[in-house]
Amino acid sequence: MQENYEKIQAAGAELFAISSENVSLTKGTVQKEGLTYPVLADSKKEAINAYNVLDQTNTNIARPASFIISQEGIVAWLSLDAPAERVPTSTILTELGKI
Amino acid sequence: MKQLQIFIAMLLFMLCVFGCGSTDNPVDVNETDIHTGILQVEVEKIDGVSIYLRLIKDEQLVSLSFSSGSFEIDEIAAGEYTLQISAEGYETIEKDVTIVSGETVSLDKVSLTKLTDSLEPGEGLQIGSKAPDFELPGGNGDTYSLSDYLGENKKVVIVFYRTGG
Repeated sequence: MQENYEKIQAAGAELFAISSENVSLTKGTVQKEGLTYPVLADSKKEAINAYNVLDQTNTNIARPASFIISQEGIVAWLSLDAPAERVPTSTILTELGKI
Repeated sequence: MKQLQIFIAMLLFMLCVFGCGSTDNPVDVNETDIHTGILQVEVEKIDGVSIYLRLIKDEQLVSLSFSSGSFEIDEIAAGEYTLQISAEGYETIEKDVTIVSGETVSLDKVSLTKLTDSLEPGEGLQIGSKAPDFELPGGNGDTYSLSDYLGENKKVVIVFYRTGG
């Protein structure tokens, strides 16, 4: 995802990566992997529940899912993925170009 | 003269005692190794999938590595840790490990189980729905809210991960 961050920004969007890990683990991941996009810690699963992307097989974590939110705050595109079949970032970029 | 002979004999005796003592000393490690140990993990390789290994102590990430399956982490402070082994699309394994000074802990033949595609499609949000706002802490120390990043020519891509990264 890091290598596509500039392309997402160039398409007029910010990227939020969200997981249920706590802030200190998220901080460690960001530093150790050198991530420059916002990685958000949703340990209380507020966004995960609001977007209904809780993993039904392990309710401590999110399932792979991607959303594009339009400038009006509307869900413009979404992909709810199977655990091993995350949507390619190239698809997200293509969809972003249409919005 | 006799006193000198006795003195030399005692000196040789002492040299032997202390000299022999030090070569017999089993603790033959250098200073930096004394309070650290090594962890080796062998995870069954998965074609084209990076395997992540996280070493966690008191909810703090101590070490993060990724590879195709072989890991060796050295200079880990002795103590108890939670080891998390994960890969996208596979069940995450958590194990408690105790690192002992000057020793190597080895975990061999760890295999990850593929997650099945049994998830039901998410309900509720659809294309055209209002995106729920949220405010969450970021890994860089800042707080992010969705509404702050939306506006004229400002869109947001949200990607949910099973773990961080």
